[in-house]
Amino acid sequence: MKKNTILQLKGIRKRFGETTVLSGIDLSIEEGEFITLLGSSGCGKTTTLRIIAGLETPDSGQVILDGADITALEPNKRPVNTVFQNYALFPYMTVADNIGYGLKIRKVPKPDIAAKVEEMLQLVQLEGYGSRMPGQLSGGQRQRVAIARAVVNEPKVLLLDEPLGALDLKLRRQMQLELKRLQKKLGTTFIYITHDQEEAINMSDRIAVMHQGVLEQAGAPNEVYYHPKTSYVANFVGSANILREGNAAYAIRTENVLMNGEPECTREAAVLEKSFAGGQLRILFQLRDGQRITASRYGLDADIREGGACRIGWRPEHAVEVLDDGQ
Amino acid sequence: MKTKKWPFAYVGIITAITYIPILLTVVYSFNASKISSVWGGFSLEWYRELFRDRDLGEALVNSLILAFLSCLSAAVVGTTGALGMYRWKSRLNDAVAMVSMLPIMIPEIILGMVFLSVFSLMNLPFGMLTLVIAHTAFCIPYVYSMVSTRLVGMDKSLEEAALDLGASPFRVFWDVTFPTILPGILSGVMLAFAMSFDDVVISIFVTGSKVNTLPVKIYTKLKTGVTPEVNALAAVMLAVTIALIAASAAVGNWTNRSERRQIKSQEKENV
Amino acid sequence: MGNKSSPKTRPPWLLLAPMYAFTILFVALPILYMFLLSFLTRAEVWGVEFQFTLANYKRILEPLYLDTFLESFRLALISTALVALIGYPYGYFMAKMSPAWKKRMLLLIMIPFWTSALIRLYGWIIVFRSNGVLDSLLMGLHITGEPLKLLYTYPAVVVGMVYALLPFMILAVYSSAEKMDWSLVEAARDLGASSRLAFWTVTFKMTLPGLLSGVVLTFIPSMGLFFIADLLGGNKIVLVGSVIQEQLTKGRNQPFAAALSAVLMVLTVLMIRLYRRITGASKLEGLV
Repeated sequence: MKKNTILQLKGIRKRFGETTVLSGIDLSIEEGEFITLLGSSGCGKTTTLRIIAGLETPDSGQVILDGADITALEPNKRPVNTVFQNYALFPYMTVADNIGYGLKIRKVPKPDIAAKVEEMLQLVQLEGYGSRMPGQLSGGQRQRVAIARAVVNEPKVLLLDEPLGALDLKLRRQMQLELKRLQKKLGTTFIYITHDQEEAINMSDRIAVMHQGVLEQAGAPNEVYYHPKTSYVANFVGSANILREGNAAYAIRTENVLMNGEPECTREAAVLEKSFAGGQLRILFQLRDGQRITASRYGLDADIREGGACRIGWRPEHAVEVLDDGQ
Repeated sequence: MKTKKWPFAYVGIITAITYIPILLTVVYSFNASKISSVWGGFSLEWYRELFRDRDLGEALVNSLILAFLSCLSAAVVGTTGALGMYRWKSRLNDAVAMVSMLPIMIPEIILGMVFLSVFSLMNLPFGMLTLVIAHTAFCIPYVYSMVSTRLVGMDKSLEEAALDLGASPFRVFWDVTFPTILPGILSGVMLAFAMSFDDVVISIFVTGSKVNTLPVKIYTKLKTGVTPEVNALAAVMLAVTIALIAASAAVGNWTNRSERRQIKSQEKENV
Repeated sequence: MGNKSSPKTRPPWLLLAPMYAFTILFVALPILYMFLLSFLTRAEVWGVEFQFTLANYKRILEPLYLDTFLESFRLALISTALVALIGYPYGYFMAKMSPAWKKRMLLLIMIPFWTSALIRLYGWIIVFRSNGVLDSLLMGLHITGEPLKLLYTYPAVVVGMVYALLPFMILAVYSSAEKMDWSLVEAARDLGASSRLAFWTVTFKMTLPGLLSGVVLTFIPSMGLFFIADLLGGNKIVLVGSVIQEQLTKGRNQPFAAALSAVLMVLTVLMIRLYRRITGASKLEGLV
């Protein structure tokens, strides 16, 4: 199933003074896709988003939206809308005025705006909240208003800059599902930014992992997870062990590290540390050559003691060769 | 830590002392005796005299016109200046901003002296024009710094959000920037108005012989002798001041209450 | 990451022009002219002759004017010390009050501040005048037998100065104490400091910018407030400000007035630079 390309980034470069933020980003995004730009802070994902929105101009490269080069187009003239990290709701306008702002700018007749706003409030489950001020809303509600305010303009691409970052874990999980549902319903292309790999895996059709201004790998979640191309991706998405042997580097997921018993357990290792976090027991081993390997298991495992020794190993297919970028 | 009573007592006593001279002028404005130390019974004589005094009335009008014009020009110059310097940062801007603050940092007498000598060099006729220029000079810093503070504290993403939603740069200014800086402009202008309306030192030097401001007039009256009508004037001005402050406090209280209501409803939702 | 926007390449001259023009034309150039003027000669009848001289500065060193400077300095020193002693605790206590009380106190401070300075001075004239309120009170209580005749004395001028300048100190100290993180004091107490030691090692240091800003805002102006010396001190107390005013109006000697102003200006700038050196702050606390 081949879909239309809605947005294309070609060789985007950007420097702020002495620091290079983006060194040549190439990315094609399909219509109706939910794509996530994933990376730690300072990797250039927000700058990429701001360049798509027009809030930043690239030093070189092109932004092509629906076949048209919009690189030099002003942000207010782009059919693209953004959900800002801190929501950026106008504090002195009501919820309804906030949502209707973009329509008012485009001189849509007042009754139509009111109808559209009502529809949006329903969509984000905030019926009856139209006359409230943003200050009277909770974080999750503000989040929904910010989404409604962007979506109402029917943008060709919706940009979301870590929109769930300020919410607590429980609410975040709930909003992840809601956002995904909303995206399916609207069929709009979503470009989503996060530093949370779990969130990215949960929501996205495709994940683009960024690191130090470079797009390391773009692909479906399971592709990125099981077949990382670089050691950085392997480490960042699901925290894999990187084992270096000779000139090659291999990524081994912690849950795939076998301990005792299994025939693959051929390597002598010292148990350095045991810790328990998030329902998982994590055991840190040190191999004879000094490299460290972490294994993870659900539940508590009493057999292995800190300071002891044991044999560990993994199935050959679980050691994925990756490009070593020193991470 | 336990709350102690004596800090309150200290603050209370000092505050009370600062009110003594003000209250005395009010009390003595109703004194029938011309000699201020003797209580000669209740009288409204000085108020009658005050309202008959054409010179004082004229001086009051002059002071109001002066304060209005200086605040207006300071509002324009200070606001555009703050906006311009926020948009474009440079060393030159910092230097200009620093020099523009000088009028409220150096002693007033220097400013008065400077303006007197420059205006006479330029052969400007002393009067309302020279007064407005001099007052604008010390009004600008109040507006400029209040507006700058608002701009620095402004959430930049609000402007970006408006732009993102299709607003032209002019619309962005009108819908986002202006409402943000408006409280700064207003409080700067209010402060500037008070300073202009109260200024003696600078006005004395640039007022010339034809135009008198109220403070200059009061100063000459006080220098020449005892005039109990100044008591009446003091009482009237105090009443106006308190009324204005009470009005602005009432407005403030009203907004506070609605804010509090907002917070309360928010709390309810979070429960 | 929001403020990473690229700087605008073209300065918004339309917005900057009024501020630049006014500041250069009516602040910078006039002040420069003052310095120039201080080296010029007074014309015989009226105005200034463009002839370079150091006579104006030499004249300041004459005993008569040197004494005025020293006298002004002494008065400024006494007033500033009193203002600091009274105003610092006031601002400090105010910052520790509940938000509602803070608002009330600010309002109470602002009311006299917004009433005409002259009228407030007039109130003190009523108090100090011979057989005035203070005399009547003291004699009525049989503390003194005869009128003290406090008006037109040094103490009366000091009271007037302290009264006029106190709000500046209070607001400066308050604004720096307001911003203070009080958990630092708790941390000091937790680490074993007595409340006195905690005050001197933490609170005082953190509020020092406010105190020093108050000193700057009090000390220099008190040398120029000639009308206070005039109304409460009669002709007995002559400040630098009074001399400047006299030279400009009666003496018609602009160059000499400019030289006096220039000295005062240099002192002001030095004090502000000293303030910046000590506190590292660029703005005076509580100025606006």
